[in-house]
Amino acid sequence: MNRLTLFLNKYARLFQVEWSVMLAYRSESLIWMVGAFVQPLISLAVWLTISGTGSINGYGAREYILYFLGVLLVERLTRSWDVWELDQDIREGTFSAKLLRPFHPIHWSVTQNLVYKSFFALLMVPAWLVLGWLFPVLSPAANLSSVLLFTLAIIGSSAVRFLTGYMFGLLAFWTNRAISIFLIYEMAHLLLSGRIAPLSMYPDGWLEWSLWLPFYATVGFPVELLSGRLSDNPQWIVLGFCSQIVWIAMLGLALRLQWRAGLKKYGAVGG
Amino acid sequence: MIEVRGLQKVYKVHEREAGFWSSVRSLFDRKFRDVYAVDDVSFSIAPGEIVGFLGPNGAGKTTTMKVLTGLLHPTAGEVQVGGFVPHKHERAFKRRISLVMGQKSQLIWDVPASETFLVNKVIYEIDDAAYRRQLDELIELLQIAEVMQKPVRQLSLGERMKCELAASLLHKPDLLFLDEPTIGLDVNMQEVVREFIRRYNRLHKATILLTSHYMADVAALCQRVMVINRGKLLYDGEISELIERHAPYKRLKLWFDGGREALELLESTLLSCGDSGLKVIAQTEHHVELEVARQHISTVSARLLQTLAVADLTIEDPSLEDVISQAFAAGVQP
Repeated sequence: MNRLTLFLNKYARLFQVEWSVMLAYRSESLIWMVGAFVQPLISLAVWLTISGTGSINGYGAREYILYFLGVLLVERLTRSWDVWELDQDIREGTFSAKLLRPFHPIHWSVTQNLVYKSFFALLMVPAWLVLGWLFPVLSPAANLSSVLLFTLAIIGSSAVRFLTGYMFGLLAFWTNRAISIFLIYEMAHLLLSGRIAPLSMYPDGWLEWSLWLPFYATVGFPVELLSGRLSDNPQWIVLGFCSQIVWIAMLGLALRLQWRAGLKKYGAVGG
Repeated sequence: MIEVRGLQKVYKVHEREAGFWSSVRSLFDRKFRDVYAVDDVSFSIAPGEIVGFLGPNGAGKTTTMKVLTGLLHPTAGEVQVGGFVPHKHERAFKRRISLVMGQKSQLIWDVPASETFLVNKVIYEIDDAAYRRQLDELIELLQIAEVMQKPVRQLSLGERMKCELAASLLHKPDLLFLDEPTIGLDVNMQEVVREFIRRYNRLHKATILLTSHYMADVAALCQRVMVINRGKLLYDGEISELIERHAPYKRLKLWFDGGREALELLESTLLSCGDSGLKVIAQTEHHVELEVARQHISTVSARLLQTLAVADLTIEDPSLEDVISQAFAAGVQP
């Protein structure tokens, strides 16, 4: 067997195992999924109240509803929870079992992300399709190309958020405050990624700043691709993808360096 | 196969007293202390050797094992295992080793152990035929056919340990680090695992480093032991020599027909053997337990047999536990 087949075999096997683990906790997974709906729905309710029957910056009731439904989907499909897992694994020493095997521990996390995100997508995408069919107001004016671009942007955003989350998780090699540090970052992400309001409603300049940071490209950008807001703005589409690619490259490099330094600090507690 | 020179592992430990105020104080004034978990330890282990690693809790056994498997970076010193530097995390190295920790699990918690076996099959790139062969052998030896189909979280400690061993040996490592592999097992199963380790060593010419709280494991499996305490290697050599050096006596137990006369006879006989390094450990009306210097054991027992109406007599080596605690009390020298 060639190396690629061997590598894919590993992924396929880990995917199956993680899927069984998720099914062992199916009710928790569902509660977790639905729990994450709360924040976008609250933001939606607030904006619907503020805008009333009129519109703000081109956003009326329908636009808000579509936008926050998009946020809800993107959030669930791209969010990273690895910091919690890594923090526990590293602090309690259970990381050792993965580290001893001849397969980088990051692959376990990647497959776990693939499992949960496909599970969420399997539930949420058909649900939205049915809702859009029942209530046309809920269906985005998306065409094939915008759906394709949206899918690409989701993959890019997942990668950026996974790498960021994994790097925060690896901080557990040095400190037992990795989660708290990540939560501070998440506050900034909440504010600047478009999760509480479309970034176009922010004061001038914020959007540009957010584009250079790993924020807008991870939530606002895919949502606006789906809602068709960027269709007359091809340079923003290019910029969004460039931002994702540059961040993936930089984070990937930083992660390698951090990994090497972190292993020296690993305490391998317990045993 | 394993070469260790001047190994040192130092942990920085944050120190503070218990209580609210000291926790507040420690926010501004953190005190650290260096703990030498392993300090200037050197040894080498030849291919195919089984070596027992003995020492009280916190002596540095597990830390040494973690350095040898690459989990920990040594603070100083050189470590080579199977020609590799463990903390470089090379894949070829990881394929050759296994670390079994009685207190830590490599099994995936929420699914049956058989799933972990399959994960290890692909990760260690074991082909189907070899996997089947090795798994069948492990299932038979460890009697885990049914156990391995239950979710790991529902297994008893003993069942889990057996699956743990199986998962660790599927890829046939030739370097095996066993940290308390028989913990939680009943006496029968301890014997099975011991026999299994012995067989594995013979069959695969594996080099094995073993720690255990059960001296019986070490006594049964290892000719050579290393004794470590507070990070220092105190003894490295044959078990028999350790016993001779730190327990230069045997235990003699004697049962006899009682009565005042017998006791007086016993007393006078013991007095006449006064220069035999003799010590009475316990005595009742019909029974006496003695410690006798090895070289005098035959004279003393002969004399007792002559003078007393002996019902039964046994001569035993002191237990390894006793030897080790004596060794620590005396501050063994390598």
